[in-house]
Amino acid sequence: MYTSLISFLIVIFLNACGGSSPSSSSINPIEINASLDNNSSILNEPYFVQQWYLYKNQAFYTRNRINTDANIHTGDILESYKGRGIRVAIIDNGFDMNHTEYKLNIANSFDVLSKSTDVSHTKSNDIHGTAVTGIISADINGEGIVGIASDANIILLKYKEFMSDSETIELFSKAQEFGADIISNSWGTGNVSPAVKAKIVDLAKNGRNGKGIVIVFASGNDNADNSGDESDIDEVISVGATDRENLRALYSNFGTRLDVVAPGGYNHGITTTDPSGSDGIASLDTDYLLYNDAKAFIGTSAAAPIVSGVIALMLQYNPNLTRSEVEIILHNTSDKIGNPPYDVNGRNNYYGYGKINLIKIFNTLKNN
Amino acid sequence: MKFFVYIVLLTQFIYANESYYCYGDKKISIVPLIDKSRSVSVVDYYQDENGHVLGVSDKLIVAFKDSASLQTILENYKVTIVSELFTNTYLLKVSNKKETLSMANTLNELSEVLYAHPDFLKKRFKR
Repeated sequence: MYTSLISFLIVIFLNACGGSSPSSSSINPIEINASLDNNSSILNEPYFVQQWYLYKNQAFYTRNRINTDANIHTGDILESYKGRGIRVAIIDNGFDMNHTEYKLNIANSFDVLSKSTDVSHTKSNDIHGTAVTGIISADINGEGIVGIASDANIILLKYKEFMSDSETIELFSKAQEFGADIISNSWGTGNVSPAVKAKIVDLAKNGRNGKGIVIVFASGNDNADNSGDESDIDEVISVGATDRENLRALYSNFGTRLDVVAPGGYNHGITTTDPSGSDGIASLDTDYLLYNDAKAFIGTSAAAPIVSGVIALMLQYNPNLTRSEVEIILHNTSDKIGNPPYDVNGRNNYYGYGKINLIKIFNTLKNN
Repeated sequence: MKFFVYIVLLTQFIYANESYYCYGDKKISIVPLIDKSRSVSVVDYYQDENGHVLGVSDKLIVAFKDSASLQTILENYKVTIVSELFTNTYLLKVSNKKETLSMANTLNELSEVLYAHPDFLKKRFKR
């Protein structure tokens, strides 16, 4: 913590001195409001009202008995900041490349099996990558939902379920080659190999022209310690999940390197995209997995892309932020929710440094 | 009959403890999984003590402390280079997948090697 605190103070000092990080020229002062304007185009998204993880709709919250603070407090920030100019790589099991919610945001793609750019899901019920992508990247187009970084460029990278270490490294290398600022991972092996760990650490420290690629991993859904997992790497942002009661979801993995938590759902899912038309598993709307779908999207897989999307907005605000500065800001602005006491460093093993809060993040960015 | 059972168990115990890979200074024991199929596989499967299934092919990953060490390894050990994965880290190949674990463990002992381990195949768990 002392190291984190000292680093954070250095960041503040550098900023106060007009130092190299962050560049004042890239920062636009903004007015942050706790709620959206009535004319906001985001409100035209038919399912925005049920994106409880982003925003509090009073009627929806009351009807579904959702804790008033269960969302990540986006205020009106998603209207002003949309991740424009930021490249988010998503490594997952396949994607609906033609989903109207994000197809215009796809910048690059790569399938490790075929070595081609076709990253379409193999089986019609392989929905995972599509669901993750919608949380980050769904456009504000009046069709369904809003992604947290709706203008970010996305890099879709398709893995194999049973994959070698060298293939895993190849996917991370592709993300680097395609210029990823952030790599979002809603998967894990529970047993990361030394070479894969070395590649991840190298990108986190030296990628993005030395500023470090921000690599996000879901902590896992086994209600277990995540030791030895990819999410247990110190240079990774490890994300656990919370539920509608604004508490740690019972399945969410924990550990000494858990960084933060974000909504992953439990009784209520995370409304997001499902492969279009006859593909997919959704039962209420063919193109979307709604919060109350029988197969709603729930898990740390949903929490991790929420954090990745938030980081995209941070990097749009200040592209000069380093990976470690992003991490420190996330740590220092997260809400200390839940019952386990936080230690003198402001963390515990079940919530990390707490639940992310976008308004607090932007207030910190703005004031530094 | 009991004697025979003891011999089988003892053999399995010894066999199991012959299989390991190195993670830093630690030796991680792995137990071979019996392949009951009659097809020829290019991968052998093992399980670690936490239940993780690991596939081992004829490839291994070696990281060197400096780039000059690769040539020495290629000259002195029965390995060939497949590709460079990233800085000073290479994907190498042995002639038979049965040699992969022992070759990785041998190379791991060398002073010029940072680490060496099989190019493990692992299951990705969606979360």
